[in-house]
Amino acid sequence: MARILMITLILSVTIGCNPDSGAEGTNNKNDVEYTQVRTNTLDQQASNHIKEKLSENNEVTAIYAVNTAKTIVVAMEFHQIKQLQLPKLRKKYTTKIEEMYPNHKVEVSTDQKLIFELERLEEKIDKNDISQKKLKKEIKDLTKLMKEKT
Amino acid sequence: MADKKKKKLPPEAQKYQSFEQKREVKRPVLINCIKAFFVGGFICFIGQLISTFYMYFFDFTEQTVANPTVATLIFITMLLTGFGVYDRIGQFAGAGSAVPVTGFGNAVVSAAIEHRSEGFVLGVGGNMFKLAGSVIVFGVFSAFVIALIKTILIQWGGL
Repeated sequence: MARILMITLILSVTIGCNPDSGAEGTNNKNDVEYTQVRTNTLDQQASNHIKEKLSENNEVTAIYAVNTAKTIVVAMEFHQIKQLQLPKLRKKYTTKIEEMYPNHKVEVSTDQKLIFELERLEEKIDKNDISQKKLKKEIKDLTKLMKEKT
Repeated sequence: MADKKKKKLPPEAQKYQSFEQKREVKRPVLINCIKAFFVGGFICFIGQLISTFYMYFFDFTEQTVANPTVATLIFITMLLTGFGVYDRIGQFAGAGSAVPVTGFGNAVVSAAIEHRSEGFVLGVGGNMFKLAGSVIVFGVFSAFVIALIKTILIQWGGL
């Protein structure tokens, strides 16, 4: 009994520490998960461009981005080892995107909630299921949610 | 036990102690640790599920989701303690069930149930935090130490 438990413990630790784990199911060369949103009604060129540019960084594992004419909201996922440096990374990527789009207000988040919401929003935009006005409202709500502390 | 103390004992007692040491059933420390590891991990897994649920279906971010998650876990523990299930989990898993926030809930609720017969104010109110008080004290202290370590790592460790 003890031996079986010991083996399970060692296995779970060694498998968990494998650096390649979790890299499956991604869709491009750098293993960064993102989708190019195609739509005729809402201009998502800025978001698509940002996703393409930022996916070149190795530390990023997933990017979700949605933009309006004035605002760009980006949610990013990083490798587990970078978890302690998230504030620094957020700052770094915010300045990077601001340099790319100086006329937009840029919001970068690493929050799981934003990842869920932007994924949902991207899907809606992809299916042309959302109007310009609604998108603006959603993005306003999301930026408000990002700043909530309590 | 300290050997100095042992030497002061009368020879009969020393004899008894060596006799007892041979026959005493040894604590299965390794198995206890493994049980605690898995049960504690499972409780944390449930906590993670609850917080993901709150984030997915409600307007909580990673910053704010901890509050409803802890509240839900403590509510579940309260029920389990009341029905006498958590005692069994505690007996099986030891520290695995005591270290997560559910252990704190269990300590508060079981103390409240135990001292119910002494009345609400001096019984329940006075004794509720008898066990949980130490959790609060050492929780705050260890949070302080962790904050110090994090500050040192971030400021000088380059993390």
